[in-house]
Amino acid sequence: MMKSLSRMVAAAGLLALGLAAVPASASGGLNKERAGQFVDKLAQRAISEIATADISQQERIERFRTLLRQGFNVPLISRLVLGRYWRRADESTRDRFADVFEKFTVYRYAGLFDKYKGQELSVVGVSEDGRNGAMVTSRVKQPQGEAVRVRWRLRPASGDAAGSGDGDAEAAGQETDRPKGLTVEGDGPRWKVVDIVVEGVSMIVTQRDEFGSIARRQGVDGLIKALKNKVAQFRQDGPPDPPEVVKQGEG
Amino acid sequence: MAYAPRRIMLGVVTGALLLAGCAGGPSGGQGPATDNAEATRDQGVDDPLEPVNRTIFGFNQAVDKVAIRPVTMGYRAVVPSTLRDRVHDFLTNLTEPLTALHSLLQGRPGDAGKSVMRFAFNTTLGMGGLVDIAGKGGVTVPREDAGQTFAVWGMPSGPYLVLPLLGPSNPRDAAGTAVDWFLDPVNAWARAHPEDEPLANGRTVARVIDARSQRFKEINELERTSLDFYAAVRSMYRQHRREAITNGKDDQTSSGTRLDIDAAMDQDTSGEESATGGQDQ
Repeated sequence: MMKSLSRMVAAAGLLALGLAAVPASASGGLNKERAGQFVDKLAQRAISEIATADISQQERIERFRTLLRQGFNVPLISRLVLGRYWRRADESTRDRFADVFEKFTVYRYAGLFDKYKGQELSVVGVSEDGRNGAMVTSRVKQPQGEAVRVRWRLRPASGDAAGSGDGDAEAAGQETDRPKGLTVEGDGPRWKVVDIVVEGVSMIVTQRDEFGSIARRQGVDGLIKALKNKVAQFRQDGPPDPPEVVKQGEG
Repeated sequence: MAYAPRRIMLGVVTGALLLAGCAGGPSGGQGPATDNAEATRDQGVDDPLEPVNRTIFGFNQAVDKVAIRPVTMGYRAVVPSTLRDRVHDFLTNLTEPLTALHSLLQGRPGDAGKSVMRFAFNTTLGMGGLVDIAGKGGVTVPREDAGQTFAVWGMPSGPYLVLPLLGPSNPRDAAGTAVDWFLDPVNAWARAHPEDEPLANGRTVARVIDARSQRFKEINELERTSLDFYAAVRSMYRQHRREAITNGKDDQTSSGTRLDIDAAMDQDTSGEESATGGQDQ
């Protein structure tokens, strides 16, 4: 408590002096002030370790998978994007979905790093979100055109145990290999991204609506099959969308 | 502008940013009166005309494939990006008077004043609007249209519609599109001076190509990687319109509550599916 108080005072002091680069509203205490740094660090790592690194496509995919697991609460996301169908699904269906969803996500987005053209992310604000959560607002400067507003919805890395350190809560649950949060600065608080909202468009809402449209007609098994087909297509396509060449999708 | 949502955005950024989708136009409500209805509607589908909509969507996709996309490719191949930016600024400047009007009608005279200022500066010092110097100077305002004004006035969006050539919409936005078409200064000029009608038509074509070009790769990529492109665009259109209507001031209630992240996390950590009522109707 004292610690968080003194940090808030320190943050206020910095703000007053105009020294704080990130105008984080640290009202929520310990974790909030670090949320902006977490997003900043995540973006930096994505750029330096994946986007601009001189590596093979395979290596790029592997690095992205690692970063995804470290920085995002993938089990929670896969559950949220399944929406109402999650509850009706049995354990093995959920596992199969989570598995193919992660693959789908990795392949779908890993290739986009090829298109990195010097976009720069700057954190412009942090607010509280839900219980123990934070919403980090950032602006992504494009090489041309208008900057894009991207918001990051964060939750503590280990469920409820905000700032509890090693995320021992994870070990207790039945999720065996849920990766730990991205450590940004030493033993600081650990966050994970649960959603990204670009110009008001939430990744989770969009995927939930899209997946729901398929699950409604073909069931979750049909959705899993469609995802598998898509992963196969991604693998076959290789790096997506070479410059200016239009691909026709499945025709 | 074809099926292409108005501001498609497949976060092109650092890979992680890319996790987000694209976006288009309308739906959404404003104020407490419509919030609930809107939230409920989003949970469901509210697309009673889906079979017809899908057919029209397919038609629009075909038009995109054979006409809009090839022309846009040519445009992008021939015209350098800095010039394309000038075209975009020029076309945007022509919509500034309508944005000013709608800001005023939505009860935001401050933004309306800014728009007037933007128009004045950009049309003169910005060489007829070719350069958004006001924007570079930090004077920016959210884009407004009649559909957004109707929403702010409390008009419900109605069901999702896909219009031939015009793309994603709903009755409220379709009405807005018609009203704006009528009010638009360039179109009004062309009505009064029929000999200048080609000018107005040329502007319309330019807007379609510019809109497609703005998010060229993102749209292509979204189409390629979607499982159900129609459903993805429908979702993004609704979300993006809500964002446009509230000018981004509704993030908490929009996706935050409806996602029930915290409830899901509780159940996640307990490893148990407690029946917490209508979490996800």
